[in-house]
Amino acid sequence: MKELKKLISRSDELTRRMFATRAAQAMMGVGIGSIMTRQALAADPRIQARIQAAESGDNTASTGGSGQTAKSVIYFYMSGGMSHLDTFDTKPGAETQGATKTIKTAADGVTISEYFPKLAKQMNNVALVRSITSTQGAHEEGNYLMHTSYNPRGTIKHPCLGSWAVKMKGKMNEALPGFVLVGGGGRTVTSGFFENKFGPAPVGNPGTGLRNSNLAFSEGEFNDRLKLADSFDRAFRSKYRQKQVESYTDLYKEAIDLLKGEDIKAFNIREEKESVFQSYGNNYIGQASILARRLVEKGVRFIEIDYGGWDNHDNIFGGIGQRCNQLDQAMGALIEDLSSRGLLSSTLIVVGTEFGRTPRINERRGRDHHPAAFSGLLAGAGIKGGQFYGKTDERGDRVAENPIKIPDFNATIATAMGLNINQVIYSPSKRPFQVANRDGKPIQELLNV
Amino acid sequence: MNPVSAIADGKWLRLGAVLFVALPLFAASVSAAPNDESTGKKGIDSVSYEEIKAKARDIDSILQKAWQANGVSSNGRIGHDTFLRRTYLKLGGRIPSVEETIEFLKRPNRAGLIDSLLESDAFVSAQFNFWADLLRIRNDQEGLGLPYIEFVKDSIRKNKPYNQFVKEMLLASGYTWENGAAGYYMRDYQMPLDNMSNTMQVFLGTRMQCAQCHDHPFDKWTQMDYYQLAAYTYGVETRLDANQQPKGFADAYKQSEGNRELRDQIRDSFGDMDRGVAVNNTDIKLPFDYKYDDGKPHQAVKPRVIYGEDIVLEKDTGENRVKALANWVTSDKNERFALVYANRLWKQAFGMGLIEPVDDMTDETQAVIPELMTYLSKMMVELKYDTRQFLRVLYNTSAYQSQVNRKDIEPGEPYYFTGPVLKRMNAEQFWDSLVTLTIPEPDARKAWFGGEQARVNAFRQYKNKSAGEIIAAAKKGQGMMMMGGNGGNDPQGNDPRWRGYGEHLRRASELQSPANLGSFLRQFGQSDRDVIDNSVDDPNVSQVLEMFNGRMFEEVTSPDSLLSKNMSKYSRDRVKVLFLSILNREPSSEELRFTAKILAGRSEKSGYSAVIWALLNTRQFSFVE
Repeated sequence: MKELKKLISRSDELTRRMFATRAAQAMMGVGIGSIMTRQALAADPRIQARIQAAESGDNTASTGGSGQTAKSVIYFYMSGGMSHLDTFDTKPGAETQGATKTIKTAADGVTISEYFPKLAKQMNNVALVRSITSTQGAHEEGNYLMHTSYNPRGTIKHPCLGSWAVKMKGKMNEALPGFVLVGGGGRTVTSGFFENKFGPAPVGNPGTGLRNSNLAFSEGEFNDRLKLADSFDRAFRSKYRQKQVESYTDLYKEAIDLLKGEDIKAFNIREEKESVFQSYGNNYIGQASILARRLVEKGVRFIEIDYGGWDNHDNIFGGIGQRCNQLDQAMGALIEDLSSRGLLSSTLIVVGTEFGRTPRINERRGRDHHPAAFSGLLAGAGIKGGQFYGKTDERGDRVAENPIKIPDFNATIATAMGLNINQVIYSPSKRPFQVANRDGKPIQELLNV
Repeated sequence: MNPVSAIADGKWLRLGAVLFVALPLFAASVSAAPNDESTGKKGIDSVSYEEIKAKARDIDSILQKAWQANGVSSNGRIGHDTFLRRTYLKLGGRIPSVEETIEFLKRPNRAGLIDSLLESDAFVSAQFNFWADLLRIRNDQEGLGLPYIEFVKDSIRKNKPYNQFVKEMLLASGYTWENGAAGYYMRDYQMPLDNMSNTMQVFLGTRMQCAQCHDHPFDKWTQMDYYQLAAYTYGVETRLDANQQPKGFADAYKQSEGNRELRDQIRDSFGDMDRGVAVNNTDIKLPFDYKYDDGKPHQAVKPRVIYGEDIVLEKDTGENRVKALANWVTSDKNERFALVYANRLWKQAFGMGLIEPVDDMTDETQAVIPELMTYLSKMMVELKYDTRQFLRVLYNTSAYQSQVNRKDIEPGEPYYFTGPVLKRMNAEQFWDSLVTLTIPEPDARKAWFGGEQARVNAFRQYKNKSAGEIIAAAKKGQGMMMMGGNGGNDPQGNDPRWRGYGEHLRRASELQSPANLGSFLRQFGQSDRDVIDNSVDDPNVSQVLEMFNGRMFEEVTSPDSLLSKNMSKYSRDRVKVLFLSILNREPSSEELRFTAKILAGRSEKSGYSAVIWALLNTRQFSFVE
C-alpha cells in the first residue's frame, strides 16, 4: 500500500508537473518526429488504407455487431438548448406544438419537423433519440454534463468527449490536431485533467481556418529571419541544454514544416468549388460542415461544431425555422457527401444539446428550459439508421418510454467509436473516471457494431 | 548637457557607458502604489534593510551548509542585466521598459530595485495573477466576479497581512458588491463541500477531496474526517431565499404571492439578488451511501478539526463554526498555514518549491532542505505574514542573485537551489512583456468592465428601495435594463497616454479573467480559472505560430507602438534600443554584425521589422534566465 502510494504520488508529480510541461506536443498536436509521417500521408493517395491499418491494431471493445466502428466523429452541438418539439420529436395535433408542422421521412414510421426536408430524405442513415432526460436546467451545467458525462465540480475539471476520443484512440494523422473545435465552445470543451494536447484546436471562423497559419511574408524572408533569430540565440541555447528550451527549438521546426506542408490546407475551405458551398449552404454551419468533411478526409478524429442560437425564450417560431433549415441543408449535404466518398461508414455524426424546451409556450411566445425530456441524433458509422428510440408523452413533456440519461447517450457514442466504456483513467489527483461516467449504458438497439 | 539631446545627437554610441550616467531624466518609472493612510499601510522601510539582509544571510548560510553536505556549489552570481530582467519579470510580471533598463544599468542598485518593485503597481498586477490562478477568480462567477477581483487587488496593494487576507475571505458574508471577499464562497456557488476541499488545498496544502466520497486512498483522511471538517462551513449559504434578501425584496416577493406573472417579473429583473453569502445553522449530514462503522447514512455530523487541538465552541451556531474554522486555518499554531505560503513564495522567487507539489502534503512530506523550510515558516510568522517583507528577504539572498540551473532537474532528483530554476515566462509575463513593448506606462492602465460596473451600480442602487419601488421597476423590466447597460465611462477612456491604443492592450490582470479560449494568453497557458493552480507552460505549436504571425507581433511593430516611437526618438541607436527593449541588455559586437548584415540592402521598415521578429523569436526572450 505504501509502495503503491509512493509510486502513484511520484508518477502524479512526474506527469503533472514535469512531463506534461516538457512534452513537446500540444493541442496542435504536431508530434516530434512526425514530419516524415505527415508528408508521407499527405502525398499518399492510400491514406485511408493506412488509417485502416493503424486502426486494425485497435484493442478496444466491440459488442460483436456487423458494422464497423466510427473512426471519426462530427459532433454538432446545439448550444442554448434545442427545442425537441420543433425538431426531432414533433407532436402533431397537440396544443403544445405551436406553429411547427410535421413531415414524413424516407424511413417508415419516422417523422420529423417540417424544417428538416433534406435530413428526412437521409433518414435511413439516421436514428433519432427522443427520450433523453436530465435534471440540469442551467446552460453551463447542462452543457458540461452533456460534454463530459459528469456534473461540474469545484475540485476537478473533466475532459470532454472529443478529448476522451483522442486520449483513448490516439490520432490518425500525426500532422494534424486530433480534435478540432469549430465556433465557440467555451469552457466545457476542454481536455479537463488530461494533458493539453488532448484539447481541441480551436477554429473560430470556419471561413478563415486555423489561427496564424498563413505566413505573412515570403519563404525567403522567413528563412532570413529564422537565421537571424538563430544567430542571436546560439549562445543561450548552448548554455542551457534543457528539454523545455530544446522542445521549443523542435517546435519551431515543426511549425515551419506545418506552414510549408500540405495537410494544413485541409483547413482552407476556399479550395472547394462554388457548387459545394451551394449544396452545404454558404453560411456558418454550411462552412463548418465543409471544413469537418475536409478534416475527416485527412484523418482528424473528432470535430465538434458549436452552433448556438437555440435559447428561444422569446418568439420561438420567429427564427427557429431558418435556423433548422440551415442545419438541415448542411447536415443533409454532409451525409450525402460523406456517403458518396465512402466515408459515412467510418464517420459518426451526432447532434446534441444541453436540454430541450418546455412544451408550454410562454407569454412571450417562447419556450423555456426543459431538461426532463429532449432529443438527440445519431447517424453514420456504428449506428442502425431509419429508426427512433424512446418516446415522450403526447405533450412532449415527460419521457414515456425507454428513458435514457446523458451518460447513456455518451456511452452510445463511445461504443459506436469502439471506445471501451469500462476503461478507467485516473486524474492526476488520482481519482478514477470513465468516458461515460460509471453508469452510462449504451443503447444497444441503436448500435450496429 | 541634456541627455535627450545627447541621444538625439547620436552621442550615445560614442559616449558608451558614460551615457548611462547622463540620463537622470529616467527616474524609476515604476510608479509606487498610492499610500493608503486609512489602513495604516507601512512603507517598505518599516523593516530596516539591515534586518532583512541579516535574514537573507541566514538563508544563504543554511543553503551553503546543504550544498556542502551534498557536494554542490553556487551557480555563480548574475550580472546586473540578468538581475534586472529576472527581477522585473518575477516581481513586476513584465520585462522592464527601455528607460527602466537604462536607468538601472546606469546606476545598478539591486536592493533599491527590489524595494521599488515591491511597492509598485506592477507588483500588484503580478501578484494578482498568482492569486487569480489559486482562487480561480472569474469575471463571470456567480454574484459578480468584479468586486472580488477588486478586493484581491486592493489587499495586495495595501500589503494586507496574509493571515488577515485569508481570514477576511473565510469570514465573508453579504453580497460581493458590498464585500468583495464574499467572492471566495460565491466562487463555489452551491458547492459547500468543494469549497472546503479548496480551502484545505489552497491555504493548508492538503488534499481532502477524495475523502468527500470515501476514505482517502493515499492519505490518512477518512470520510468522517471530511464531513466533520466540512461541518464548519456547511451553514454558509450562497443562494439567499427571499427572506434573506434585503427587506424591500423580501416584501416584494411576499406581495407577489399568488401572482405568478409579477413574481416572474421580479425574478427577471432582480433574480441575481439571491446571489450572496449568509450563514445559517444547518447541520451537515452523512451521505445516503455512507458505508463505514463510525456513522450511519443521513446522520448529522458535528464539526471537528482534522488535526491540532480540538476546538470547543462556546455557543454552537453557524457563525461561530465559521469563525472557529477561520481561526484554526490561520492560526500560528497551524503549522501548515505559514509553511504553505512560505513555500509558495519561495517558488515564486526560485521557480520551484522546497516541497513539491506545493499543495499535496502528507505527514511524510519532507522539504528538500528541511532546515530551510523550518526557517522560512518561522520567518513568515515573525514578519507577521507580511508578503512584501518576506519576498524582500528572498530577493536579497545571494542564492536568488545567482545563475539559473544549466542542466535539467530530473524528476525525483533533489535540487538544492544553487540558484533559481530556469523557466519559460508564464502566459501573463509573456503577454505583459509584449504590452510593455507596445504601450507607455502599462502598469497604470487599469481594467474597465462597463457592463459589470453597471450591474454593481444597479444592485447598490436597488438594495435599499422599498417593495413598491422594486415592483414598479420590475414591471417596467427596469432592473434588467439597467443591468444590461453600461457603468458610465471608463475614467481612463480619454487618457492621452493611451489614445489610439486598442482596448485589449492592457496587462493581463486588467483584462477579463480568464481570457477567452484561443486568445494569446490562453494559448500560452493561462489558467482557465476552473481548477486551482491550473496555469501551464507547456510548449505548443500554436504558440510558435502566434510568434510567427500573430496579431501581437503586428502591434509591437506598428508605427504607433512604444517600441517604434523609441526607435525614432533614439534614431541613431535603433539596434541598441531594440536589444535594450526586448532582451534588456546591450548587443554584443557579434550581434551587431549580424544585424548590420540583415539591415544592409533592405528598406528600413523591412530591416527593423526582421530584427524585432528575430529578437522576439529567441528563447532568450521567452525564458526567465
